[in-house]
Formats: sequence, structure tokens, C-alpha cells
Amino acid sequence: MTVSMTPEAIVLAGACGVEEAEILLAALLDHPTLPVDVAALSGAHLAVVQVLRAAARPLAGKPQHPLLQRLL
Amino acid sequence: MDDLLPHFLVEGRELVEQAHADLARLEAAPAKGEGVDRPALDSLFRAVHTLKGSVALFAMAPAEALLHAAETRLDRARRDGSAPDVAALLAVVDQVDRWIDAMEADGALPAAAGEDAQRLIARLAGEAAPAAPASDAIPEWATVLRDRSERAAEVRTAFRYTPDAECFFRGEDPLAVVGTVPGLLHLDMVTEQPWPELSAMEPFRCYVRFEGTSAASAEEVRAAFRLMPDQIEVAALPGPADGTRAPDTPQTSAPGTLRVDAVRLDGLVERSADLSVASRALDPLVARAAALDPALADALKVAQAGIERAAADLQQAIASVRLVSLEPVLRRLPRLARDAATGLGKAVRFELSGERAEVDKQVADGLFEPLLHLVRNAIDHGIEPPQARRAAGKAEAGLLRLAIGTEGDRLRITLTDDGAGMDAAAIRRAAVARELIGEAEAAALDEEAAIGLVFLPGFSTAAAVTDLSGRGVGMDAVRTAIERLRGTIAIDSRTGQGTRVSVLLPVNAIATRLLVVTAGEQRLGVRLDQVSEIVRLDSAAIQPIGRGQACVLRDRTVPVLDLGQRLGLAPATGDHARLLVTDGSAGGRVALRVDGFGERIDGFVREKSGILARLPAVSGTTTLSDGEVLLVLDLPELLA
Repeated sequence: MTVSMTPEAIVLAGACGVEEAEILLAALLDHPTLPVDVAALSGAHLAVVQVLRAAARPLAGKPQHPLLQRLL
Repeated sequence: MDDLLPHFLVEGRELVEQAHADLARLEAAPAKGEGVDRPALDSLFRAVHTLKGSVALFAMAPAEALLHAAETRLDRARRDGSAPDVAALLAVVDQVDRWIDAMEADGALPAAAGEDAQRLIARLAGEAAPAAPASDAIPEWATVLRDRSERAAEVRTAFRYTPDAECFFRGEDPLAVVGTVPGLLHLDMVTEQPWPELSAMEPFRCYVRFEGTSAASAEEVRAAFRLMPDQIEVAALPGPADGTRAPDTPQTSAPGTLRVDAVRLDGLVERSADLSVASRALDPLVARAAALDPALADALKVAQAGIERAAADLQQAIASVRLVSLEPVLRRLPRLARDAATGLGKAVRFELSGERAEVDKQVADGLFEPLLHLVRNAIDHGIEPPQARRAAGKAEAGLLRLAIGTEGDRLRITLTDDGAGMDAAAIRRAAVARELIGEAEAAALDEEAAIGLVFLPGFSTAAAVTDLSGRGVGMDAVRTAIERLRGTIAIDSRTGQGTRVSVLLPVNAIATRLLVVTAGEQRLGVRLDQVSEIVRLDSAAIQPIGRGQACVLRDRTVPVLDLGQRLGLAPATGDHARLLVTDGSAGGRVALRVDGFGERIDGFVREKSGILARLPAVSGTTTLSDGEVLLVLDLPELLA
């Protein structure tokens, strides 16, 4: 599981595959004010990145992957 | 989107600030006989481009349209080297800054925003020369991308990759594909349509297009997309046509910054204060251990010293984290000064220096209002109308200079104007007319003290209450705000030549030097920065004068008050009087008699809360090593 919840944030960790996009989208809709913690995010499928961009939520931390750093 | 607004307000203003700085550099370059300042132009383009992206998240369509027009104009300047109209661009950035203020105040743009945007777009277009004809077969999107790249000089290839909407279902990850592009320099992820609402979003549909540049050849870039030839456009780019172009400033990787809620930082300050208090509690234990086992006591002492050192380091580290640049606070002042001057039909040149000085966050946060008021005052009452200035042989535009500098652990802020100066006689008359001071008393004041009368509550000399300063906030409010930050303010003015306002503030607000005093058998803390002198003298030197008492210090008569009595406690007695001398209101010095002086400590003064909040002369509390809670007095408030 690379999408998880804490009381303060939706946490993305490790490499998020395409199937995580739907889980992340559901989490964002369920928790409309939580920021997303991407500090431990090492890689992500474009589908996940799209959801993050569309949500435009505040991000906590900086993803590890340089390409993700550019796009998020 | 509401939860995004606070972030936008911060980041939007940072971008406006960046744009202002870039515009100042662009304006300076031709004056120095140089061409267009290319790095400034690039930086301005990026700021405007990012700002455009930010405003798009909110109901700010006129701002988006205006920034788009500015971006297009800047893009052309970058391509053909034409000098952009700095004044028009400054008007655009100022307008966006005003709109950001409106978003903060009202959550929406004013009704006239659309018209304002159209007017400014027309102004931008008015100076636009016909676009240069396309010179060769290089597609325009490719050159735009090159110019948008951080290291434009290295760009050899531009690409546009439009994955089809269903590609995720085929197991493709366009991001992984882009990751294989060799020599990637710049990458944008763009959408044709605005992002859909989350609830309407299809997570497995591809919404985006990638646009980027690379330092590799077109063939190498094309090879990365060999599996999707129908989705990719690649264009080879020659080097910049103009060989003389200076290389862009090397881009250092953006330092990792983290925005932290100030409340959490304050919590850290309190926690670290608790740590040093807790370590001091070891003192009596070490003493007791010494009686039983001296070797154990020594070892304990070494351990305690280690803890104290670490606690001190921690406190210092936290203090430095709380130091913030004054820039974000001061950034809006030049624009507000221009607005204020325009509203009064005056012209003002605003010079700002030293704005990068760092100061404790508490001080930075409390500075904007008083500084804005000082700036408005200077424009309203100081700077003369253009005709009057011309008649006086001055430049039509008034000069307003705000200089910031640090002097040890103090911050000095000086606001100088070259306006009419302050008329001490008029101030005396006004103060008497408002019954703030008696006529004889006023006449006895020297020039400097007379000017100091403007700090009295209820003072205003403006013949007409103007839109600008007639808001019920006078110089007394400015002084109160500065004193709340434990600063001081002074005015120096020459009739006809101008006025200089000097503000002196502490850089660090956390650890406070305190003097422990006793009064009426109570131990109390006094901030040393509120004490100008400590005096011991013979009680006989204190003479009754009228209903009070006074003594002579340095050839000046200083009123003496009893601190204990003032607080409803027993007055000090004895042959030797101990006096704390402090600057009272209206600039005069006041001596406070106490029973005795105790130790000097570095205390962490906690804001008063609960029942203490109602005590007027108390600024907070601090905890001593033995756990005793000490009330810390606010002397100016006590004497007010």
C-alpha cells in the first residue's frame, strides 16, 4: 500500500503505480482539506501525478524523484 | 479551492516581489548605457508565467488575461531583443498586486477588474511593434520552449509529446517515457482544458501534454519516443541567433525550503525554554550530591554542563530559524507609496535599501502597519505638491528613502523624505489647541521635544483630513506599535529640507535580558532594554516637588516614582535609594525607585495569558531556575 492516511495528511510513499491513482483520488475526495505528504514518494505513474495536479492540494515535503520535483 | 488561497497569497506576493525586483533591474540597465538586462528579462518572464498559472486556480480571469498579455509581450522581447515598456509592465504587476490584496480582503476581484485589465492590455499592446516575420522553418512553439528553458543556450532540441487519452489502458506511462529523454533541460506538463473537478475526474484518462527541451540532438530525443511516433513532434534548434548573448546565470538547485506554521515554531521556543529551566533544576541536586559523594557530584556537574550547552545551542538555532528576511514585509511598500502619491496628485520616487536584513519573525510581522503609516504620512504631510516643489527649486518627484541596517543586535530603520519638513511652531500651536499641553509648557519645549508632540494621542496637524492619513491612526499608534516590538522611534526634521524618522528595534525577540528587582517585597522582572540607567543615590537627594518627587541626574531634573507604590505594594524605604531610569512618555526620563536589584538573567518571556492578561503593566512571565515564576513588567505601559 503506497497511499496511506494520517490525521494530518494523505501520505504517498515508495513508487505509486497506475492503480494507485484511483485510491488517491478517493482519499482526496474523502478528505477535502488534507494536504498530501510526498516526502517519501520515490516514483509515480503519470495517472497519480495528474490526480495530484488536478487536486492542487498543498504538498508536504519534496518528492525524491527529480522529474516529480519538476512537475509537482 | 478556499484552502489554497492562503498559499496563493504568500506565493503570489513573492512572485510580485520578484517581478518588481526584475523590473527595477530592467529599468536600471538602459540608464547605465547597457542593453536589455537579459537575466532580469528571463526572470521577469518566469515570474509572470508562474503568476499566470497561480491566478488560474482562482476566480481571477481578468488577472489571467492581463498576465497572459504581459507574458506574450515579454516573450517577444526575449526573442527579438526589443526593450519592453517597463512602466507599462510595472502598472501590470502593481495591478495584480492590488488584486491579490482584494482576494485576501474580499475573496474576489473588484467589479472593475475586467475594465482595468482591458486598459492595461491595451497599454501593453500600444507600444508593441509589429511582430518580426517568421524567418525560417523552426516552429514557433519550439523557440518559445527554448526561451522558456533555464539554460536556453544549451538547448538543441524541443519536443511536444501528446499521449493519447487512452494510453494508460495500454500499460503506457508517459512520465516514464519522458524520463528517458536524454539531456532534458526543461519540461512543462500542460493541459488543453483546465483540470476537471476531482469528483468528475477519470483517474485512468490521460489529460496532459508534455513540452520540453533537451541538450541532446533531435535524433537522440526522437529515439526516446520510438514506440509512439504518432504522439511526438521534435524540432531541432540552432543555437541562439545572437552570438553575443550572455549565458544565463547558472541555476543553482533551489534550496530545500519548508514552510512551517509559526505556532509550531513558538511551541519549539517554549519547549526549549523549558529545557534550560529543567537543567537549572539540577543545581541544588548537584549541591546535595557534593555532600555525599564529591566524585558523583563532579560527574553530575559535567553532565549538567553538557545539557546546558546543548540547550543553549538549541535556543540559538531556534532563534536563527525565527529570523526572517524583511523583504516580504517591505515588498508592498513601494507600490502602496506610488498609489498614495497618485491619489494626492504628487509624484514620489521610493528607494528601498537593506530590505534583506533579517529580524525575528515577531518583529517582522509587527512592522508593516507602522511603516506603512510612516510612509503615507511622509507622502501626505511631508512631500509637497509638484508646483510647490518646483517653486522651492526641488525635483518635482519627492524622494522617499527607506534604509534598513543592522547595528549589532539592533535593527535600524530610517525613513527619509526631502519634503517640507515639520514646523515645530505649528506643532506647538496644534498641541495647545487640542489641549494636549499647556501653552507655557509648549513654549518651553526645544525644537526636538516639540516635534515629539506628534506622538501624543489625539494629535493631528493636517488642515484637511485627507483620504490617506485621516483614518484615526496617528503617530501615537505608530509609536505604540514600535514599542510593542520593544523598539524606539525618533524624528529629526528640518523645515524646507525634509524629515528623517529613525526606528530602532531588537533583531532577536526570544531571549530577553532581564533584571530582577525587588519592590514591596516582591521579586519582579524588568526588561533591560527598557532601562536606560541604574542609579544608586542617597535618599536625601530625592526632593519632594509638588505632589511628587524628583532628583537631579546629569544636571536634569527627573521625576521619581516608587515602583512598589505604583503597583499597590509597600513603598521603598532606607537611606540608599535604588533607581531604574527609563524613558517615559513624551520623551522625558523617569526614575523608578525599587527596594533592591537582583541578578540579571536571559529569560524567555511568555506572553501573559489567562488572569494575567488583565494586568496592564505586566508584559508576561518568565520562570527562574528554582521554578519560581517571575512577573515581567512593561515599564512604558506602567508609566503611561
